Amino acid sequence: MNCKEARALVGIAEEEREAPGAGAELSRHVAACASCRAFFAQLDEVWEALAAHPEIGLSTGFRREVLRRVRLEEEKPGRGHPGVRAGWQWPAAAAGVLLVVSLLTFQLAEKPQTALVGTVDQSERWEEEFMRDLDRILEVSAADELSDYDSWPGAELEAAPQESENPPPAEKKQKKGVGGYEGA
Amino acid sequence: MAANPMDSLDPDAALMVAFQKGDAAAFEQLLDKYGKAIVNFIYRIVNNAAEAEELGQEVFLRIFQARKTYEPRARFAAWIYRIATNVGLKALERSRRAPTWSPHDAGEDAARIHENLFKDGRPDPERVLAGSEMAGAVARAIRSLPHNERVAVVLRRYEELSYREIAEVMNCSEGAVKTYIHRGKLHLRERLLPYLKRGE
Repeated sequence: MNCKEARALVGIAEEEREAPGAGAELSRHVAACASCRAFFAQLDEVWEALAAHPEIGLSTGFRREVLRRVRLEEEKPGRGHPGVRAGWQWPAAAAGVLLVVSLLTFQLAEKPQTALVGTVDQSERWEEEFMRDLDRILEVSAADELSDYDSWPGAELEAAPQESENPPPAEKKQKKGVGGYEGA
Repeated sequence: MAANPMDSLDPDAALMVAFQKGDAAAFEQLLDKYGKAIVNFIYRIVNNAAEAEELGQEVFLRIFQARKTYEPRARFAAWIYRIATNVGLKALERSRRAPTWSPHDAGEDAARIHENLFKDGRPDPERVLAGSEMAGAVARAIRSLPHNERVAVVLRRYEELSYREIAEVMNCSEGAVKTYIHRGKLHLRERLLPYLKRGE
């Protein structure tokens, strides 16, 4: 096992806080490799260092503003049937009533229950599409990262001497898979 | 006696169901419990405190809008963080934010760091300077992460969600979450190397 393999395995195992399948071989490598031990200690230190990012407090108006916006949302008129708000809905309904009645029984029989409380209009069905958008964003992000997977920072240690693990920034930027990330 | 389905709900999902049934106070309880956490989570995604508050309001507005269709299929925390992740990442997409450290945020964070470092009554300019530098470096490092890694790292490190909960938020496997976090650590290490005590 070389340093690159060890770092890939230990990284995941470290997250799981248990030894991976190749535990024995990995343990032997880590026990014998000061560079890898230092590397893993750095990862722990990085995790601790994230505490330096300060937490923010809520402004005094946050709660009030949320409740105000909620009240506005609640009072929003015409949520039920957009496009059928003017005074012509009754003539329109009368004109279509024969067709509707003929289909209504059949439609209702097949229509699934969609709400626990009251009638749910289209404006309240945002969630499904909204969540699909998130999956799309994350999928795009994951696809962008796939090409970087085999070129983790530090994974080149086996091929390079230890001092090259922290090259000057200009040198780092030219490495595959690192330059693609947003600069600091 | 038949088991009450409400018994198996996590307490926050039960609050949401109560709100669904018309208990407005339940919504306010959820707001009080999650408000700060959600705003901080979004803050670490978009890196702007004022925008994070605005987007945090949007999250709760969406929860309000979803009250009629809500189904307690997952833990409430996973659901609300999923909404918050979506709101935060969409805001990033909208603004196509350039990776800059705005003076507004820098000043704001510096004030908070100053407050934290001096609250024990032992003012130490070196600590303040080091703390400010480190905080800025961490913020920049987090901001440099790809979306997947950023969301996974922030949910794990700051919000202390379990891998399973993060997987629910991100709609992926727990294995993928572990990979994102590990890769995030590797990228953060590269960014923060000059600030590490053990850095070469």
